[in-house]
Amino acid sequence: MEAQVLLNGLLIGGVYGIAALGLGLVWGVMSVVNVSHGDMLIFFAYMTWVMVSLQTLPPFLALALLIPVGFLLGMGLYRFLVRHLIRRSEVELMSLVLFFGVSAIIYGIAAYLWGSDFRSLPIPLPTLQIMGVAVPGTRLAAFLIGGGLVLGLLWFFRKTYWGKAIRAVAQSRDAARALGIDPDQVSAVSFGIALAYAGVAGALIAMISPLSPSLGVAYAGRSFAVVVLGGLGNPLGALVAGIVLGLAESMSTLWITFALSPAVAFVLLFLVLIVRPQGLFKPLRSR
Amino acid sequence: MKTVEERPLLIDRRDPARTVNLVLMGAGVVAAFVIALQPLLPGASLVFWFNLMKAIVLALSLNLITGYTGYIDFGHVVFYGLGTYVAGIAIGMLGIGIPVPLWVFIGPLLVAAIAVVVGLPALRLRGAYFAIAMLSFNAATRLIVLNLPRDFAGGAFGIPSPEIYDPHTAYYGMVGLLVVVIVFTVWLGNSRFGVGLKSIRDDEVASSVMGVRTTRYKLAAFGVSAYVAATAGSIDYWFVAFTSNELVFANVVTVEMVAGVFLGGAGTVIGPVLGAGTLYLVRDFLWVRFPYLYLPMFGVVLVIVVLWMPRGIVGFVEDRVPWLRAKLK
Repeated sequence: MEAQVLLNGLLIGGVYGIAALGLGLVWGVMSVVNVSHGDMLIFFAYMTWVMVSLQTLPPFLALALLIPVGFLLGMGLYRFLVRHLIRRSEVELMSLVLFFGVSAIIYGIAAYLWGSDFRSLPIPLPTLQIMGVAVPGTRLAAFLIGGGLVLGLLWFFRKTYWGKAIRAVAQSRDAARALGIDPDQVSAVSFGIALAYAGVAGALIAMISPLSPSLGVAYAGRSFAVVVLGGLGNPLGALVAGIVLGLAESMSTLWITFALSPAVAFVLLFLVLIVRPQGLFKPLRSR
Repeated sequence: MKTVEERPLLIDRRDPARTVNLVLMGAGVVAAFVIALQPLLPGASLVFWFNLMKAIVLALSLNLITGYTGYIDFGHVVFYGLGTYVAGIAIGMLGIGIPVPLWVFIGPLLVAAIAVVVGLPALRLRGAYFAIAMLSFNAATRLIVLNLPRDFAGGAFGIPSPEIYDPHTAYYGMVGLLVVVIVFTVWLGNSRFGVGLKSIRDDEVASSVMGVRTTRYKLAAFGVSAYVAATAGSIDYWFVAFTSNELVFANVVTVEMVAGVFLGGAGTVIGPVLGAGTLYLVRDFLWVRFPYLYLPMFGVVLVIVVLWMPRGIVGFVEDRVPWLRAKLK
């Protein structure tokens, strides 16, 4: 029983980790707080559902398709909305209000298109039995894809030109510009990467849980908890924090009613914010 | 040393702003009469006017902590929701002996106390962190209230109390609250308390260095703000004699408040009244015809306000009509 609960928490934690990456990246690089991140994740999850259930695409192809789609959406969003904000003072506060509005728009559209019924995908992979513990194949795949992409981002930040440029802009836009890096371009790419990751995370969410538009708030809370715990834009921190959150959520079901388990993320977030708002890991801009 | 205070005349013929002042005051008095007389007029829609007032009161409540103190609160609906539950549990479940018209003003004090307890740690957070802490506080509170014992808080079903259903009297409760909140906000503009809050908004560190007791000021503003929202909730419970988890903790309500405050102009008296009033009218128009459009519409309003008129209608007008500037502050 306990082993099963721990495994469930671990597997879902990998998804929480990748789900939060986009939020932390954008926040860390340009001080823009995307409060609509949860709604974006759920919107991508519904896009997966549409592709798989209505267009009969294989789930993992749908996932791969969402990477370029998310990237282009992110670049577009930056060009049309965020860029106008970034030159002002109080970027963070105004971005909160801006994306609070975006959140209402996305949620409204999702509620209009897909109503408040739960939708779910057919599960593509069988469940394995390992040492008396049931390992759902889809969740295992989701964990591996999520964890793998998180580590991929870590490599990207450390070894590639664009990754280093993103870190430079996160530390100081002005210093980066002095070194010949265009902060505007780098920010656009960061936003693109953030939404590409959100696209993958959305597809993974669609594979592991039934969907309803109101899930956006739950995922916003989880993503913020992971970002705060794991440090702004730190991929490894996000993965670890995601697993911590996943374990906390699933273990809480041993003691409290199942209906309350989404509250765990919120309570954890509230407590972490109050006790240790600087998080457990170094943010992107400090390296 | 005491200096002689300059007292402006009520009517200064050289200053067109005074005329505007009188016009505004006159419009306010007329509006107050129209609103107060609604229940007596034949065929008038009580619900329409009640909800209009409620939207304005909630926007003014958020304005206290967000507009004046500079703390953006994305979970403010929690205090409204708890207000309905304080009334619902006391009246519908426990059947306390205090008369309803009294309890809708006393009960929310409990919610204000909760706000102070939560605010003590939460108001130490700045900017986005506070907004998100409150967003999560609302979500957690909603789930906890939902899972309280059914014979105490009604569970998913909610708490009906048909025996107190009296919309005509409750209507005047909301009129009273609206008047009190507007008077309070006007007083706040020039009071020591209000100036202290605005100094926190503009630069909290400098403000505390200048001797403002920032923690006390923030907690007081947060408590009053929560009390106003909770009283609106309690009176709403009195008006409809029902509360249900899904309705009263919905993020939609926060979106409406935030959009109302920022569309009108945060940190002013007339801004939230104009903003929330305008949005309510548009919403009322859209609600019947395109029910799904109204939430995205609030979102579009927020996006437009942030990108093109960051100080709301009031700031927009101020920039174009300079002599109004002194009046609208």
